[in-house]
Amino acid sequence: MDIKLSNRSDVPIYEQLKNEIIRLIMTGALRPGDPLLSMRKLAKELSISIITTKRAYQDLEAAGYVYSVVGKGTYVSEQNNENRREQLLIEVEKKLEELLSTAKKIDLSTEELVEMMKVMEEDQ
Amino acid sequence: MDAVTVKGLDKNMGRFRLKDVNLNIRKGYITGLIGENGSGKSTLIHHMLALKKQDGGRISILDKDLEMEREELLNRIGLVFAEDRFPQNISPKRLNGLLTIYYNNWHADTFFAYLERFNVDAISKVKFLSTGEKVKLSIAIALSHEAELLILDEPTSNLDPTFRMELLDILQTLMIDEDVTILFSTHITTDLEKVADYIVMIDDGEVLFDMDKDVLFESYRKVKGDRQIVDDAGELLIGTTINALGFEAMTKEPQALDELYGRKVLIENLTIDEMMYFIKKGKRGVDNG
Repeated sequence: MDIKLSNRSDVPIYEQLKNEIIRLIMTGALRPGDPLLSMRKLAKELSISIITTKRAYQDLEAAGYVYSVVGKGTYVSEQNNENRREQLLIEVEKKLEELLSTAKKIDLSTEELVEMMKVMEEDQ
Repeated sequence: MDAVTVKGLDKNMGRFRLKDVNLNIRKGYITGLIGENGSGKSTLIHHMLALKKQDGGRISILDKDLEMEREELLNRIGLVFAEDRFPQNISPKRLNGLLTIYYNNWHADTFFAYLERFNVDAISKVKFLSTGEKVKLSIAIALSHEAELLILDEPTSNLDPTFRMELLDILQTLMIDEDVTILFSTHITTDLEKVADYIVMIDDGEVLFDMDKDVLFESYRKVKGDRQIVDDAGELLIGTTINALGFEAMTKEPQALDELYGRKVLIENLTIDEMMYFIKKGKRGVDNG
């Protein structure tokens, strides 16, 4: 699993970890049925707390991305990734609409918005 | 499940006392014990090892009563102290012979492997080892007798940063086994910010909080802003400092501050050190500097 976490980001580590695993599932790096590293091994590999990996795994399970088998481990769900991608896209579109209408109020051009996003991405 | 349960521990030591300490150290996790020098960290640990007699309260470890089963429990606890507790005139190699007798599950091969990994000479007498090497020796011993509970009292104070990182890595490797529990007291809090699962803060003989580390960092935030806000927001701020440029404080209500003052305040992450600073300051009252 190729996971990158930033200690300097304002996004909490468990949230970052959750997003990274979703990214791996969405891009197909993790396939349905693939096992995830155990919470304890992952905590060691990433030098983070066990409770942090535990929380990320619990959130992923609640959202249906993974499932766990007691005594065995955590696996990627057999899910319809197309559907999930669709849902995430709708979410992005909704947020973009909001963003555009807010930007309009202060006469911010699309180019300026894109520029701001690029700067933010570099900062993260 | 708890590895250690402390109930109503009282100890009067004259100028200092432990006041009704209640504490659970969760099994399978790393708990960090923090507090300033003299706050009672070491006294508490000494009680957990029955090195001191309490005035009141009970301690149980790994589901056994500490007073009743001290001998057996000490076999199952790995101990690392910052200060030097070894006989001075023998070498680690001879020490190995004594430890074989003392610990039921002593593994000489593991012990010598750690000494080699840590670069500690097994032949020279303990008194010729540096302070750092003695701590490493103590860590090697704690890791070589299948301890289920590791108690480390300020282990990293005398270690260089490279070895501190290595030690954290070793501890995390041990934690892959769900039955191992670690209690780690330190004033070098950056070590804990990375790997601890729970943080216990003790101050003036009292437990101030005992929290899941992630929840702790989410609930306590740093806030900066205009000095005009201070009076209005007073109750939401802890340990406020005011200077010419504005104020700085800690808050347990970041959401409320954000809703009330929006861009007039800046809310940031805290470090454990800053948290300790603001809590101490909050106890003393507002400083108008």
